[in-house]
Amino acid sequence: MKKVIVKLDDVKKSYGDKVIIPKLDLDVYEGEFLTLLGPSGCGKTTTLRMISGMENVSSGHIYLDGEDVTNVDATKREVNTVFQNYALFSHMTIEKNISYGLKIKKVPNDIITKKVKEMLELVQLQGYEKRKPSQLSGGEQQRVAIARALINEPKVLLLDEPLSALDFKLKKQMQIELKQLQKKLGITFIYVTHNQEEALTMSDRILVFRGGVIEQVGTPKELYLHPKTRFVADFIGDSNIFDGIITKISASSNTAEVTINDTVKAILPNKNYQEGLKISLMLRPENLKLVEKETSKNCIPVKIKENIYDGATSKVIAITNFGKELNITLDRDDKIYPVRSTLFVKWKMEDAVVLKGKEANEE
Amino acid sequence: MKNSNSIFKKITTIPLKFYAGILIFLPLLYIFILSFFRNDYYGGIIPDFTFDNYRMLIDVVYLKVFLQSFLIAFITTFICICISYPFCLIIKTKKETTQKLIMTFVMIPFLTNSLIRTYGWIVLLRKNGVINQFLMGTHLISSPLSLMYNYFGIVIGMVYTLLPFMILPLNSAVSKLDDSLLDASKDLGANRLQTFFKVVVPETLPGLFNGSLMVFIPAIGLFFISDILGGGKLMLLGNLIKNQFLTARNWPFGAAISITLIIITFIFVKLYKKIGGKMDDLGGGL
Repeated sequence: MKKVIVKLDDVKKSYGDKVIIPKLDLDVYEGEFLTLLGPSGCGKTTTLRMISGMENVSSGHIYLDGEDVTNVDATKREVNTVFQNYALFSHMTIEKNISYGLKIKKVPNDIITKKVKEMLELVQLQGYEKRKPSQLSGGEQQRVAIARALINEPKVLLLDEPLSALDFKLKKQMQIELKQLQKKLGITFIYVTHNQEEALTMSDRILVFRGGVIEQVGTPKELYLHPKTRFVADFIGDSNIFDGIITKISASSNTAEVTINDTVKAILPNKNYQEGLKISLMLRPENLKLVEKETSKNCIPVKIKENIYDGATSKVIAITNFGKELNITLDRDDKIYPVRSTLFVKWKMEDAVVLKGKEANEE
Repeated sequence: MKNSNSIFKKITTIPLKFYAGILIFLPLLYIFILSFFRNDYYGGIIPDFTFDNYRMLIDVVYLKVFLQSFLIAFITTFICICISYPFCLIIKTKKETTQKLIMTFVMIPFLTNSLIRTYGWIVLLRKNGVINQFLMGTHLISSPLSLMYNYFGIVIGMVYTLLPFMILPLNSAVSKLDDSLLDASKDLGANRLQTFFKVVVPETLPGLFNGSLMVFIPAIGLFFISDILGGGKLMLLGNLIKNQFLTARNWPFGAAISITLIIITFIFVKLYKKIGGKMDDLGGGL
């Protein structure tokens, strides 16, 4: 049984009449890399700020390492934050920035010097002691911000979109560094981002937020392969979503037939569906195949709209005969058809993910 | 292209150069030359080259005036800082429209002549003025306080007149201060006071210097406030200069004091630059 390091119990947050988080229960386990993922304004940063103590909860309780810290001031909580824009003190040297927390706690100078040295080694910035933040690159500043937080030996490190200001390549590199750092230190990281790719790369567990409510919690793999809702399917990775109705249940082969747009018939493994049930069917771009000849099931006629080559993969945008755009990822040796070719797209029955029914009616 | 551009620049800046030359540089040159002349008994000027005017300044009486002026300017600046920082930090937390509204209220007094506004303070501060009447009416005091015709009155007048010059540059620095810096400091365990002295002040230092200079230098020279609220009893540098020109009719001596004041001001500006202030922030290039 893993130890719960942060517990949010029936937490509610509102500003005046505006409810940001209606009700939130969350357990964060010791040593895990948890990502709060969601579009901007979904309450993920607010959640982080409530854990750090920057924001008060409107009701409910927050526990840190078993202790109720709901009314403990931010200055006294054993958590530290890495801010989105680094928030380094520009008038201080790197050394002074990193030692700030320890200085406030009146730690003896010789210990501070030693720990600052250790921290600089940890983030690979030896020799940067006397520089000012403005003399450092974005990635280096980010590492200073991490060192400044970690030197206080927090029980949990909170990261608020720390990589959003970095360029693509540096972002990739920092993702790996962060993940390695977390593994090495064994400290719990709670990471906030709106970037699904970042979340998938780094997290042990991802929590998808939507309008202040948890949409789904799971490992990156679970969320990608088995999204429960249309929102999660849409938000994590590329997806093709069809709305349909279960029209026939076949008990003998234990399958269900879905009719999409009154014409297309798709076959699914039956999971206690009933005829007439509205569902959404989700297919990842890599599970769709382009073929020249129509197959008997799970097949839709399409017309190629565009071919996109991005180096590692080739993507195709195709339009079905009922006007829906599909994203298709091709394998390396797949044939590339010219634009406006008329083809068929097919998929394997088990690759189709059925999303919660109530969501199907939303759009 | 570059050449024609520079010609264009030269032509368009002619009015400015004309203005600076005729209205600032020439009078200053006149004052400078004047400070080396002598005056006669009728207020006339005798063009004899002499250092006497400057020598006269090194006198206990005048040194006291200098000291007094600097003390008042220093106290005024300090009080302005003490008022402006909390003010700026509080309005920083307000909505943008509220911020603009409050800053407009800071600016509005500029629309009225500062001499008239200073007279307004007499109504409040004098022996049977509003403040004393209120305090006596509520029996907080039994006899009226002397709120004017002393240092207190002068400092109140100075702070009142010069406060916007502190608030404006300081507010521009404080409003640019990233909230996340304050959050970071809090996150690292610093209380409000620690955050203020370790983060807010150092991060807004240019604004603070800027405002201090904008308050300190006029505070040395303002003469009407000490005339009105000091009752003319306290002699400040501004009064001394004014008296030499208008009352004592010793223009060369007045010129010498002015030049000394200009030099001292220059030293302060140089110091400001040395600490790292930008002249642009003061609204001009030197």
